[in-house]
Amino acid sequence: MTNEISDHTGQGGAATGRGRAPVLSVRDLHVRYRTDDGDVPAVNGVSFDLAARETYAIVGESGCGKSTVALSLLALVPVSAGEVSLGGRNLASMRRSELRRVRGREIAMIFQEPMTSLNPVLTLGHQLVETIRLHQPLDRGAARRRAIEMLERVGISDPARRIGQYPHELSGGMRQRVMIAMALSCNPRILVADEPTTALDVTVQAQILALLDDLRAEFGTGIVLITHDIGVVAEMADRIGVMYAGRLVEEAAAADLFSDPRHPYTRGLLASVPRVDLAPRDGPLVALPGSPPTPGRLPQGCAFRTRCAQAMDVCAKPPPELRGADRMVRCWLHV
Amino acid sequence: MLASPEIRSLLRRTRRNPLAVVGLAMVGFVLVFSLLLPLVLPFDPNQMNVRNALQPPGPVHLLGTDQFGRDLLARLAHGGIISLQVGFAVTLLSVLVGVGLGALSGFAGGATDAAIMRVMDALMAFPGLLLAIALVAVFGGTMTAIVVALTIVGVPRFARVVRATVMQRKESDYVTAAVALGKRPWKVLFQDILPNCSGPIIVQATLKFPGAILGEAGLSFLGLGLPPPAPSWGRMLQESRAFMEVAPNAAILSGLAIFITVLGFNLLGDGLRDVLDPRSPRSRS
Repeated sequence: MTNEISDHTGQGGAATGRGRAPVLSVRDLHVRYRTDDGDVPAVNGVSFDLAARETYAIVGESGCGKSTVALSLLALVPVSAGEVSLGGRNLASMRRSELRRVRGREIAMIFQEPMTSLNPVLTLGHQLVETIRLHQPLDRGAARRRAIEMLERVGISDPARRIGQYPHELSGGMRQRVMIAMALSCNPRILVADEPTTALDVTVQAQILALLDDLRAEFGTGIVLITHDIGVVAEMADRIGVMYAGRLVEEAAAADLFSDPRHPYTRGLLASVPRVDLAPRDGPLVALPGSPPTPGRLPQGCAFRTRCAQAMDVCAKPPPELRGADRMVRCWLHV
Repeated sequence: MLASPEIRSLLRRTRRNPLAVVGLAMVGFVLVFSLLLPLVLPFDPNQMNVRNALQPPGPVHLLGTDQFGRDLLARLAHGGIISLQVGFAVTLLSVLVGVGLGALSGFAGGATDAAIMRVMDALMAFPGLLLAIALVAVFGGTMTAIVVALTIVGVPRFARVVRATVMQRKESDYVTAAVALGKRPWKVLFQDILPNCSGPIIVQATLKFPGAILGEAGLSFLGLGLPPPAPSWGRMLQESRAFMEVAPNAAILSGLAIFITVLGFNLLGDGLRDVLDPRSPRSRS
């Protein structure tokens, strides 16, 4: 399968390979958390591009650093090295006043826990109107009309009444819709969705994903979707980056990744998910042995080699960098 | 903010807490006694009538008279006004200054936090009443001096409580979400953090109120309160000690006034704390 390596070998993915300029370009992102036991590297050099109207999914286990990547896209955690560039400007080096103009207006975020992501003492209307007026020169009346319009657009019935309600009067799914309405109320070019459906019922999950997909088409918003759920990814991602121990280990178009996973970790992930579209296998689902390494105490060379069934001697050396444009994999099996 | 769901559910849960209800009733009684009674009483609390001194309770002077023949009921009621004034002023000032300092400390962190909290620690290192005595001795026995002294004693605890709560709320999801939307820090503080700190602030305030009243009574008992003839409960208690054997009603009644007021506000405060503490079984609605 290694003979399918793509023709264009752009530099570190600088070209998207899809003929469109990226709206968001992340280069060699590093994030370290300071703890009492010294610095812990959570993200160790992540690079990817997001094109307009595209959904880029980052998939990985708990603790692989994917949520940290999400937060660093809005500089909500201090970026220790690398670039997050948004239309040519590097978010990681912006002053706080510049950041405030970018956050919410050009790049917005929704969170995993809709139950706690809204201020419990303010009405939905109050919060939406505040958000709209942060970045748009509208008076209260106009902002209120826009708020009602946004609530209606995200599928909340009777928005004129709902706008006077408090968050605790809404279900989790409803609150996530409100979060989406707030995030999109200033028409950002990029929406970062950090596990947006993890806390929701399965039926509501599907609705929220469908809504995000609709809104992406309607508003032309690029979405960075962070999830541990391959099923969610299959439903709406255009491209997928698989993350392990603070690094992307494989990146490909969604269809390619599912039909032809190359990194042993990606294969392990896919094999551990039950699928209704395939005939039942012989025997139980395959679980990946072991658990992810502790950040700061990664194995030498490839971080996955201690759990990898195909590990070789060469894996003790740092694995090859991600190369190519359409199909990238960080593994000695594919060089 | 009064209509906020947190406050409404707070009131509902308070009603189910018997001790809080008792406290509320005592507080209500004290308020009526001190604020409404003086309007209908025919006696001036400072009108002396030496021939009428040390009367037991009777039909004219319902609770009797003191050593100068002043009507005890009128003096107690007017003394209540002084106590409530001190309690209210000290609590309000402590809330304003304490919330300001605590919020600044918890929100800014770093050197600001360290500087403010070390000053608060230094103030807390003195025994409260001793510090108040020293301050009143310096500023003199006026209402302003008493209020300022008791406020200085009361602020550190507020600042600590508010700082801790602000630091906690700062890490909450809705604050991260607000920052992610590009809100200015002061807006995040005033819209998203402080309104969600109201619970601990309310509890601390209801506990500060009786503390301030007790503080004022203590100061005037020691002769550092408002100068005579102001009918302060602490001074009344102190002056009536000399006549306890002949006319115990003055000593008993002024002591009782302090007791009921302080106990009432304390019960109410404790009840509110139970109701607001999510770990307490009474907090569930």
